[in-house]
Amino acid sequence: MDCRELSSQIEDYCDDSVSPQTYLKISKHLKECPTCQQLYQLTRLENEVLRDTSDIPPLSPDFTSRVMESIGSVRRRPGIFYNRKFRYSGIAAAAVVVLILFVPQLLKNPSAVNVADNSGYGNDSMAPLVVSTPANGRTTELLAEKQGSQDMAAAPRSGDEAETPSTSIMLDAPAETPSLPSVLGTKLNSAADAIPEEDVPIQKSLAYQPEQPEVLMLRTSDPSIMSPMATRNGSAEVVENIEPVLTPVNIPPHLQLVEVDISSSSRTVYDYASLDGLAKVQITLDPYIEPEVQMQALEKASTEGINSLSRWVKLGDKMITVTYSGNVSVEELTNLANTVRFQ
Amino acid sequence: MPTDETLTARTLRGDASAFEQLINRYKNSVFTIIYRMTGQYQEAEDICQDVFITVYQKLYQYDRGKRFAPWIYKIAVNTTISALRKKNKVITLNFDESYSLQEPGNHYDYGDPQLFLERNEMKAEIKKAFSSLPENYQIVLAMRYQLDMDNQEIAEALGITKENVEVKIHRARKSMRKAIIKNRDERGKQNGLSGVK
Repeated sequence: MDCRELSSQIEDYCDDSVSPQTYLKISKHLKECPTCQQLYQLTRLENEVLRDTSDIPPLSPDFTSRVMESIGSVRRRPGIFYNRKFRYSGIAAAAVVVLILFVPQLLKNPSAVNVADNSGYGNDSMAPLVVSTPANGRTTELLAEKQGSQDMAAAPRSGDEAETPSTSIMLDAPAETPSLPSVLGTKLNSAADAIPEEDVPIQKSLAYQPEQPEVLMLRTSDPSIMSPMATRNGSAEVVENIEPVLTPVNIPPHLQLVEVDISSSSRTVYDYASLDGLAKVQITLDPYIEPEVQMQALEKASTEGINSLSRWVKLGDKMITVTYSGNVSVEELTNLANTVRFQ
Repeated sequence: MPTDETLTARTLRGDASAFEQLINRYKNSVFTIIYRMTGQYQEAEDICQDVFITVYQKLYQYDRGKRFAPWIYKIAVNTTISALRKKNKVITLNFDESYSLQEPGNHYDYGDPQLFLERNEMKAEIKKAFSSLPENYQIVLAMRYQLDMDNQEIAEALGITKENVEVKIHRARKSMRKAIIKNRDERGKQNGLSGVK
């Protein structure tokens, strides 16, 4: 080892971060070279000075309490969507979209809103709202047909469904639902009258949430009656990580937040329970999930009286997947989904 | 002792005491960085307070899959830069290696520190040399030696590559040593001592 080589490794040598062989070589050289020995001493002194923080005065003893007081007066977690400029421009843009896209259809057929056509994802693509139910009940068509849809024709349907070029939002509701706890006070009596056409939850959702346009389609957990798979157009950014700022709000007062699980970097789970503890609802925020993957997950989850309903939610230029699940009826989940906002 | 990630999660659930623990855990190291950048106590403390408020407000942006320390140090550095710029105190964290360093010759004559300076004087020389470094080098060295951060953590905090950090630390130390030798040379001339060749 020569002096130059030693010079390049002397810091590591002083930090004990060289290999044993190098350490021995350097040590041997230091014994033989007074100049490098001086460099070694200088480097050690440098390290000592560099690590020395004695010149830094201590923080005030009340520093922590002052910060906590300041935080108390600071509005909490504005979040990326809280920006006023962004929020109001988003509301305005969403309102325009709703007016342009939905008013003509509402005028034409107020009870039938073809959500998929107005999803913002393009006319030939749909983002799913997935509803999975635990039992195979009869299928209830919720929304009116979509004229001219080509996707639906190719999609597998249940046996009693006509092969029509329409996109229907399907709900595979259990034949009996009274055993399900009621969260919102709208317990289903039967699948048929559960979601009357004039109370189409999706329509309500879109009308009530202009700032949060949702792209919806219902699915059942039964692959045989699945609607066409949706494809995502390039306008929305796929969210890789759910930011916990997307906190559900407008939760019905009957539900109390039990736990927020943010242990996963990509998923946030909000657990709610009714006041009597019987009804349990979970709101899960995921990054955009491909419908195939989502369906697989829901098929597994759709057991033991747990209903599940998923939506792709487009917030500004972000798109996430929100899944509502719990031991409540599909109608209640749907109403919950229509009520809940995210901030 | 709860991990940083646990404390951030609890904070996000509204547990103020968890954030208080985070403050107590990081306030000294954050203040060290800021104080090294500003050199003024009150200013550093004010900025330090702003840093923790910012951390609280932006905690939702923290990726829990990554380490918390680099994230908070990054906020500390950026907040300090912003604060200094507002006061027209230009601080440039130039990480493009524009700070040129003439490579030293093949051989140094460091002399015997004990012969021309007492140990404390030598330390003063080193501190002076440290202060003469560009801010970006000072910060990298402070993170490395005063906060005991590894190169990867520094890279994450400063938004540069780990390799860049290694190069920067190496060059910073070379620069510092060069300044020490230069100072010693001048002092050596004053004292009639032989300085650097």
